[in-house]
Amino acid sequence: MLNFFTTVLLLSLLSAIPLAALAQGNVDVSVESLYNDNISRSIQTIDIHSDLNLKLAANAGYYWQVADYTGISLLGSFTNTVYQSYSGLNNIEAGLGLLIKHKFGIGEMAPALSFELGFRRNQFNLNNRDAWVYSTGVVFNKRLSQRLSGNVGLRFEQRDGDHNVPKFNPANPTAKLKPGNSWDVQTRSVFVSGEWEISESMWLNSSFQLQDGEVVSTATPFPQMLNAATAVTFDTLFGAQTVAYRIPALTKIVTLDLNRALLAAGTGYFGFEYQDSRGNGNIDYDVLNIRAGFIYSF
Amino acid sequence: MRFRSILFFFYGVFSASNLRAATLTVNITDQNSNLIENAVVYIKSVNGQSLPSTPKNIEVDQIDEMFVPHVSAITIGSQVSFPNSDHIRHHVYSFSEAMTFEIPLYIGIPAAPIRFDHTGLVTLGCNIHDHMLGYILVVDTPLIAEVTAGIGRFEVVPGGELALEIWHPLLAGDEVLKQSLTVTAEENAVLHLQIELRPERMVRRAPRRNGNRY
Repeated sequence: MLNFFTTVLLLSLLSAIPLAALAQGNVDVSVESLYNDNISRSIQTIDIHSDLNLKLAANAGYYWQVADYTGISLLGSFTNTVYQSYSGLNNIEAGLGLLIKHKFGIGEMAPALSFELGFRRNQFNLNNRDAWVYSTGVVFNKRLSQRLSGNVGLRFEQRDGDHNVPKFNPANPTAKLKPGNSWDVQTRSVFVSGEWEISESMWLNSSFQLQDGEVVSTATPFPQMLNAATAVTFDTLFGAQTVAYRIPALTKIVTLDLNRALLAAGTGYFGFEYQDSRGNGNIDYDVLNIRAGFIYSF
Repeated sequence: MRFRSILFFFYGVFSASNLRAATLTVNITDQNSNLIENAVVYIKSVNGQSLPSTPKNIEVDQIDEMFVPHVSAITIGSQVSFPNSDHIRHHVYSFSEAMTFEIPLYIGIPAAPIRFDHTGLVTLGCNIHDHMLGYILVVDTPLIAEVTAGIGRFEVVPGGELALEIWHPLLAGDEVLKQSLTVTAEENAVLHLQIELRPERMVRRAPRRNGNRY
């Protein structure tokens, strides 16, 4: 598996190599720190865990303008995330994506429609969560004024877990499980987002996303959760007694980020993401992420 | 807007130490006393009379996804060529009242230059790279100085009352500043002006979180 992962990583990096020679694209590197107040996505107080992570990322894009109004981008990404407390969540992710963008007219006020297709490989220290992730989406973009622009989009994502995770845990021999891998999940989302320039060097990003699909909650076993789950597997990340439940849920996600242009090609940002998830069988939880980061573009 | 122009007229520190001159040097700084670039100063009229101008053909290149020069000034009837020295294609356009045009995707030198037959400001953009921005100011006078390192120079005939106009892309209020002065003798003169500029719009090129630049 490591060899296969290395191949994906090399493909990601190769997509960035032509950039240096042709400058027809961009390479961004970023560092972000994020605090998550419910990393286990749990509803019971005893199961709720929080953590702080540090993420280093590199993204490269190579762009072809194939017609007057149509362009294609090949995107590569690599991310390494390290957690302060739960090192089992430490992970690396490498992905490739394709984006086709068509602009309906001339100028920055002209609307544009983008189609995205991508896949990525995600590997964790605790490998229950290892997965291939496939995504596709369509985004409509329109600048509404010099200082305001908006997007509306649809996105589909499928996460295929690697492991047929163990169904017996000596530390928790009586736990009731269900077939399937809890990390095989599908989501379908509709979202709106906007960008507002507050000043010449500062802007706000905000988004609202309605996500229908499955979420994974890790908790100590209890009947309400077991009845609602479509898959239950062992997940010892937060303790020997915990299991991971896959729950069909409707999730609302709100984000707000304040960005500041720094230097000639850098951006610093600070923001939050709030998730409100309403699952089958009243498995409801919320998550607050607070993040700060810096992106530099070459 | 008119009031703002008048306000700036007084805001300008007019200290022409000696206006009896054949060479007029205009020295422009911003509100922080920095010498400015990309300003255009032109003499609109002498003694209330406009001056006959002859067309001037120039190039506005595209280098590293920027229009070079960023600001140009030409006389009415001039032609501008838009070579693309980048190794990627650009799609140059303008929606400005003074000149609306587009040159669809190209690289190298386009087939024909563009002729500018109306006075006014022409804002240039690229349909592929929204951060690209350039300006051509079309005026009906031959007395034009493109300001470099805060300095613009004119050769003027003494004895006339000059109507100067000053333009800069970051001028607060998007207005042309107006300044009158009289040259009374054949000597060098220096006109010091201080103008208020807006901060540069950095957000255009700044990278975005989860963003694709194109």
